[in-house]
Amino acid sequence: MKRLIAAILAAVFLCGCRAAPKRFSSQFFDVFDTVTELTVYCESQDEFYRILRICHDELIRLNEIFDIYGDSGESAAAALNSGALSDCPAELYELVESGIEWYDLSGGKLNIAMGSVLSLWHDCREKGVLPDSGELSARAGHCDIKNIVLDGETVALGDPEMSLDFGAIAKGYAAEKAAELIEETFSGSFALNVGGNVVTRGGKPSGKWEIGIEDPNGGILTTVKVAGECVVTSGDYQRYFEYDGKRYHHIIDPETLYPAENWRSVTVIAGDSSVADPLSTALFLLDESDGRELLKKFGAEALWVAPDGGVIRTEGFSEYEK
Amino acid sequence: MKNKLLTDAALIAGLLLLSAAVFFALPKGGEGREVCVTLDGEEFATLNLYDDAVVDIGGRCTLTVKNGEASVTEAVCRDGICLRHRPIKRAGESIVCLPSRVTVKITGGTDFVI
Repeated sequence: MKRLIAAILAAVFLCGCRAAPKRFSSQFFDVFDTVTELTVYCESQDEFYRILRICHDELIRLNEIFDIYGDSGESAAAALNSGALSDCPAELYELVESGIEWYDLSGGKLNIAMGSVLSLWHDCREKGVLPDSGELSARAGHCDIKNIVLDGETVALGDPEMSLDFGAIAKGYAAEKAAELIEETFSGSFALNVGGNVVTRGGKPSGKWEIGIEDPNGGILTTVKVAGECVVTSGDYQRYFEYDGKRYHHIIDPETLYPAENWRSVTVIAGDSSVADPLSTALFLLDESDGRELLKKFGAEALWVAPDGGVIRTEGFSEYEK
Repeated sequence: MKNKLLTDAALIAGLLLLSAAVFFALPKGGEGREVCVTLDGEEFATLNLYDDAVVDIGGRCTLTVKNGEASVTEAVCRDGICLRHRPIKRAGESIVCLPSRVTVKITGGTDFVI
């Protein structure tokens, strides 16, 4: 009998001590003008640093291609905007193609060719002033996406006054690329959060990843549990400035040229972050029924927070909240 | 012999109950308990959310923990977004100061808040 007890205790003890992967986490601040956090469950710190290095290097590389505000020197995207792009990186070409596709999918609401308007808002946000409405209208005349010329290898802009802005699509694209690169040499679980674009691979040893969704009015609205999916939120509380007591956020409606007011925030859950990122921006700019149509095309789920604080969710979204 | 068996059974049952009790008594992370501060991506400090404290973070900002809430109360950064951020208390909530490369996060069951 004693042997039996010893055997049971030994079994219990050994189960408890099985080399479970440990949780490692790190943050960096030098890509996409936001904070990035990588959390990995792996065996050792050395393994974590190896994965972190892969992820960080890839995001720096992609940021150096897409950054139009010049924080990382002369990027390919900035060269394209100034008409001096000589050698088009494949990733830039792919992102431009994706941008054109999203213009069509969103009925023109998500427009990467709106760079001239967005840069005016960007500068005004930095200075805390409102853009001149005449200047906005003038710049809106140089946002025709048909002036993007693709020849299979390189990108050119047919209108020299036009510029591209990848703010709505680059982070999600980059996060997906970085996750794919990590997966080439690591089969465990990890979560990568590039400024609110969360990509997960696998779950946690204790269950699924838990992503809190911020309530635009304060606190946490809900928590979604995911293992492998991507979660992205577009909200009016993320980047904004206040002028005369009114809040001006960063998602500009191409029709009004002012911040969109349909929603306070939209959260999207999708399988691929290069889809989830543009999808959340598109939904932020669209009304509910057009948004639902778009979601169906990608089998994605969403949660909308209306200006009055009312919450709308797709049926499938509720499944992630359980 | 029979008594011995009963004692053994009681012992095993007791151990199982004890482990179950420990398992369920562990915090589930719904309410955050610790404030984790990073500076330049490295861990800078971990504070108890329920011990009031005022902490200088590398000369770049001041973190105040009071009544179970954490907030940035002074900062030298250019935009002051961290100063305007409402106090945080729930697991997963965070305040980020990009210019100063400081993050303040309540740790617990939630992995991220977006």
